[in-house]
Amino acid sequence: MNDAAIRVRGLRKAYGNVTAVADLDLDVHRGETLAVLGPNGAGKSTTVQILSAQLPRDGGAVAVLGADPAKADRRFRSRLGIVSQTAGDLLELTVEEVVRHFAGYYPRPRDPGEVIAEVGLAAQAKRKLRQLSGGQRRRVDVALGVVGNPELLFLDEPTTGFDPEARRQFWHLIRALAAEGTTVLLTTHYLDEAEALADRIAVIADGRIRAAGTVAELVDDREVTVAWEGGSKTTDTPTALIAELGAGYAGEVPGLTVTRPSLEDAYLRLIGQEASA
Amino acid sequence: MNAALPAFGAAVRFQLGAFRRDPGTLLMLATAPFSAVILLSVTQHSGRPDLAPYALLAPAIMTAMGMAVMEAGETIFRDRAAGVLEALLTTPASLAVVLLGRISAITAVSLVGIAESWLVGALGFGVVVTVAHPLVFAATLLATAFGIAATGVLMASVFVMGRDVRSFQNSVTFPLYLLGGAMVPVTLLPAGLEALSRALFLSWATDLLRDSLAPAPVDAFGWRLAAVLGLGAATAAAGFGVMRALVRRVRHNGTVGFA
Amino acid sequence: MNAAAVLRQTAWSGWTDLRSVYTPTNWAFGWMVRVLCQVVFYSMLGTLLGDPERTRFLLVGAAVFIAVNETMMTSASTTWERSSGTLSLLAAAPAGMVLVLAARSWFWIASGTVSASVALVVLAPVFGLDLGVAEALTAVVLIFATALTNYAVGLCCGSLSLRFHQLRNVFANITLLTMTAFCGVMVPTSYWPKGLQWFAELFPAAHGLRAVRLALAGADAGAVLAQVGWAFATAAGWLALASLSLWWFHADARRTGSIDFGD
Repeated sequence: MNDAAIRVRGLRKAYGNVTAVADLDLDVHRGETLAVLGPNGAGKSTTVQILSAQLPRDGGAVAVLGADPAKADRRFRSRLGIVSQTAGDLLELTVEEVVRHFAGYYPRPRDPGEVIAEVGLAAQAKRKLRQLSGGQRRRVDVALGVVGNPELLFLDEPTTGFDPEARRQFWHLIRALAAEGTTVLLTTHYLDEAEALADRIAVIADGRIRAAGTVAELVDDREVTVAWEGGSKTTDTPTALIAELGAGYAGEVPGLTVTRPSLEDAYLRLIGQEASA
Repeated sequence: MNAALPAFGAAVRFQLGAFRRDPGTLLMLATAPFSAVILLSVTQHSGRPDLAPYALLAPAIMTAMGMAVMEAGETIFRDRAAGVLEALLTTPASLAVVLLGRISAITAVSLVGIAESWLVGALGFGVVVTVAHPLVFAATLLATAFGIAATGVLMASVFVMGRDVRSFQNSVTFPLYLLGGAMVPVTLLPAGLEALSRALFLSWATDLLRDSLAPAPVDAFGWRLAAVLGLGAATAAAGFGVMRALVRRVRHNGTVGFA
Repeated sequence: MNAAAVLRQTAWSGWTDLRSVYTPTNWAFGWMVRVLCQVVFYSMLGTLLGDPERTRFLLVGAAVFIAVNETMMTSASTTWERSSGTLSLLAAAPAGMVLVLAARSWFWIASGTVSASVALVVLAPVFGLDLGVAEALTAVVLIFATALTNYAVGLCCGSLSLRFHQLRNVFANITLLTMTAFCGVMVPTSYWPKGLQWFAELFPAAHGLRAVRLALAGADAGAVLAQVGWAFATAAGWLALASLSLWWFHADARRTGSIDFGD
């Protein structure tokens, strides 16, 4: 596929006796934002580490931007951006110093000042990293991930530990980057984050992709749950059922609710767990 | 090469900034004048002004080698402990180039010890050491700086191999000063130790530096300088070899920590 | 909590610290190799000068000062509570920060005594110092006294290091090298101008070293014990200074809440 940023077939990786990734297939199109959604231990981080040339694989075929990450050279690395956790030793540097420093490691970096402004830290450019909040520090991480002007950006559970406002602001930033044409591969276990950011979602569990597609494709909303005081029923003809109930109660049906399946329902079904009532 | 120069520059700037942010890393520069006082007081008290060049060269050598072991030796270890190493490995920059940049900065700064020693002699004891053979001195000093930087690379690579190895870091300095002939020429060591010392670039370098300060002609300068450069290159090769093995291990184990 | 219980607990904590600093392997093949090389390095100045008497003078000075070197590491180990993030807990605890910090680095006295004694005994025959069993034992006891009294100097540096953590090694090293230069280690104190001679007398290590030299030279016990007395007297002054500094740090920290959690 010419427009494939990432193409994975049969990816395998084990740590001793523990299988982290088992026969995983995945496609990421250029310019799209793909969220990989899965519980802890599903293989999300392992997959991302293999794709970003941080970890060798045991088997399978992988092409990232047309190249095999196992043979990653400097030119390959210059095309990727990885949003990793800000290193402790950098905390005494200012935002400007650290972004400028990492820009020096890339052959064609973006202007550090522009990058700092883009992540919303222009006012904090002269402040040391240790003086920033957790959300601000993560913005620095994003700045370091994009300063090299990457074609493909990896983010692994980027908003873990964020308060709701910080998460919203972070999403806004990622959307802006995606709008510029950067391909984004993001792992998360927050359903709302996947829904908010991703063009497509891939659900991973036990080292395998269970399903991949848009939210509409993943959620089978034909089966609707109609509940009322006397009971509930799942049906693909909710209108007919409501009409029937209305006739039976000769007026308002007490406690009537109509619930369409959510991404959460689809996710839980895919990873093999029942949704809570 | 196009990509290497900016990375080298970034690493040099980072190291200079690190010195500014943590003045404790310049400890050896703070202690160099004291070492000069100690050693020069011994030679002066003994009525041996002819040994003043020895007493003032030694602190400079000890400062430079000390910083190679203690500061340069810490670079990869600190970077790995703080996650900076893994962050660096995600970029296209070569660890070898970055390490060389940082250690070159450390070595260059450590050579300030020469000026400190000279000033202690001149201002504290009224002893002014002149360089009888300036070209020999300059060439040897450059070659010595290369060897010291190479030692820094080797230390940086070795000390990150494990906690057990790093526990020996503080123990390496004085053996190096002794076998390197920092103050006392290695010809005064027992035969076995002298032979061992000849495997170190430093023993050749200190002899040549001392000879360049003395009025007598410098014998076999070419061969001796070649020994300094050759052994320095061997040290660098060993250091970069260990470093490459380290990078392969880090990439194999995939220890990058994501956000 | 009573002082004896605190001291007992602190002593145990110090013993644990010692075991984390030294394993038998890194002590024997790391630290002691460095110690021996350091003492040889300075002793060989005498070889360079072609003066056997000078060589023995340097050997004794360099060996005894290994004990001083190790007890100066108290400056760094006093700050270990800070780097491990427990200093604020200690400040709030009833045990008394001053007593705990004053006692927790005791192990340097023991290890310094052992290192220095081994260096002196092993290298004495190499550099022509005639050291019989009685002289060796006397030297070990006096080295212990030197280490014990210098501990107060190390503690003083440690109290400063708590406030200026980044400079903890600078304080210790500058103080150690000052003592090495002026306290009769490499040259007799009489070499220096009068002002510096008086300055040197403030340090317990100057008296401890002098006591060792006198004992090895066969001086009478009174002269030796006088120097030991001066070592303890000056140490008392440093200990008072250290205690005041630690108490001031503790009071300041409680008042301002300025002790960080970790580094």
